Amino acid sequence: EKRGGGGGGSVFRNKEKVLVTCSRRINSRYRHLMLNVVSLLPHCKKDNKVESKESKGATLNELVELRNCSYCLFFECRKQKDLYLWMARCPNGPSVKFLVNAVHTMEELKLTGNHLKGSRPILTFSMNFNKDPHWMLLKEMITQIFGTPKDHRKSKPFYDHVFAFSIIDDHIWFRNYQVVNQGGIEETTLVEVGPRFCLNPIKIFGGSFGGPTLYENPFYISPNQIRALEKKKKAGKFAKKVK
Amino acid sequence: ADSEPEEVLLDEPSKKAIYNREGIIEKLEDICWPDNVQWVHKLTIDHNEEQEVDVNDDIVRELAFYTQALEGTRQAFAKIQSLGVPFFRPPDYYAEMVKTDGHMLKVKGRLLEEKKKIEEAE
Repeated sequence: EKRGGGGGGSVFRNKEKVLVTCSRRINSRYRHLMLNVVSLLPHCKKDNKVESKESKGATLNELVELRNCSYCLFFECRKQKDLYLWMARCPNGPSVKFLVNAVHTMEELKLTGNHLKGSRPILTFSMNFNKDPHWMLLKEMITQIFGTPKDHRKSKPFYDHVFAFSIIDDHIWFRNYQVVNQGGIEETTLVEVGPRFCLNPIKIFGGSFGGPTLYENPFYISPNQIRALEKKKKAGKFAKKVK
Repeated sequence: ADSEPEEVLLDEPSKKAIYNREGIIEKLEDICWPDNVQWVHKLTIDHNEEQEVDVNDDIVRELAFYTQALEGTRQAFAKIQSLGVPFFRPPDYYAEMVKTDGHMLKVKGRLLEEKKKIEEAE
């Protein structure tokens, strides 16, 4: 499964297409975040909501094949408050599940930046993406998903925005800035456009939405466990008072 | 973001956590674009940050992102210029923007309102 006709001296063409969809009963903020991402990826196709259940992987894989895509971004909202993001290479994997934190959509942030719809972003990565194999894998997937293919029919021929992907504290932070032309590259400034989010990788799987686990975040506690712990703590306080 | 529950992490890394180094590298080789792909297809720039960033200091953290993006832009500009391809759009090039005019008008309105408030306070 070699794409792009890279070998044999033929010219490389980036043909990645990304299916973007979300789970049912997603809350409006997270749905807006998804729509923001859709507006940033001219090479994506948006699909209807998918029920978030055990068999969603099979459904999503089918959808991706049906829509002729090579990647899938699935925004999965649980309990109206926890957002998970799946990045999956279809059909043969790998796939990653992230917990999404610190979400700000383009609408709620009163940011003054703006840029052409469909202009190709410059992708900047912090150097620590190169330090471990799992970060290197994530970097490659992000490059293929978030980069707009050269000469894509919906892309524009100029460069006016830049994505920052930065690993701090083992989380991937995302920012999107407009490049403001003020005469020359030395005078250039950036204005943030949004959205903002922060990704905490939970697991990497060998297949698409499943398969053997290749990586597990050793520090991860699920939001459910955190809430349970908090409840316990509160209950403990009361028990002490009663005594 | 303040309403979101604080994220808690384990103090000690779990010893059971799987890390299949070979498996990950194999997958990476599987999905990689060919080695000889020209940079113009990827548009990626690596940024070498000088020091560790304190994640809880909002200003330092945002500045780090800004610096990364700005230096990345400068490097990308040089590379794109050297290919003889225009970087900035000409001033008379109009096309659909990612935020609509209506949205930008709201943003502007809010800015003006804030400015007015400050002036009144003075």
